[in-house]
Amino acid sequence: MKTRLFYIFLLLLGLISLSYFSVYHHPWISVSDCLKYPENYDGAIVTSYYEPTIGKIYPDGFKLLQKNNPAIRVYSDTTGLIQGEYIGLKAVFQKEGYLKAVELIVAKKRREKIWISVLPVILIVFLLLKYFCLNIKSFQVELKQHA
Amino acid sequence: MPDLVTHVAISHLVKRPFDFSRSANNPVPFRILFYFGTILPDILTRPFYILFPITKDWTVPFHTPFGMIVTCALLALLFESSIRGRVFINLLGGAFFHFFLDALQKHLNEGIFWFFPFSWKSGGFQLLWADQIMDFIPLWIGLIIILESCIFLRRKKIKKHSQN
Repeated sequence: MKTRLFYIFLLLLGLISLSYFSVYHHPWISVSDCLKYPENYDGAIVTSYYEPTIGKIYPDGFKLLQKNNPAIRVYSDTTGLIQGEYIGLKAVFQKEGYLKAVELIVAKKRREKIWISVLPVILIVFLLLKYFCLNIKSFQVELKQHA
Repeated sequence: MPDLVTHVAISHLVKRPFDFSRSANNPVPFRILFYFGTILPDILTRPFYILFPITKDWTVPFHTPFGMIVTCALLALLFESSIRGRVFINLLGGAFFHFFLDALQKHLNEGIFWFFPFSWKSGGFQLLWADQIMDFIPLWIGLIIILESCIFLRRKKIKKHSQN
């Protein structure tokens, strides 16, 4: 039991270290980074956004909205853009504080994708509870007798 | 990433005949664990960063092969020792099947970091956009109905033979 708990602790520590490494050593640039130090990131390619959606559409582009993160003006071809939809975007940051789109795709069914994905999660959790149970005494998940 | 219905449906189509063909001892619970493995990389990342975008960079390891090896080992340790090995294999098999399907999808951003934490190089086959993959859901459901019907008929035939 003690050895098992030690290994669980060790693996948890490993996962926390991996997350820490990911946060502080990832290579991508966020809009917040660019807006904070515009001179440093002039001409940088930005591919990482926080739940980006299309805000107001202008004749020469649109406003990119992000959840709990700053919005930014994007200059692009506006064909096929739909306000309120999620978007995939690869863009070049300009020190004046806007993005120039290189590639973009409207993620038309992303909301449906999120909602439809809840169904298999519920089903699998139900099946796991059907076939396995937690033995509190030994702190182990066990196969149910009838399984 | 494809939606989770696609992930689970395709993993069922792949795993179900395989389990049926050999007389594996107690295959159903382990098949469920395989399915759980196929949704694991997404359920450990998407809900968190969709609800709390600030967590996005923290969740990256859970959607990488190396991160999943550690996670599946951790989860397997929560199971009783007699089935721990099978739990680990099925969870990890499901997770890697998830990455294989994700690799078929087109990305504008990073995609899958196959060699994380040793390299940030990412890649995939870039065949279809996520919304195009969703259009195939009725096909997977149809194929599952056909597969289950075939298995049902085969079982019936075997039962009839054994009675004679």
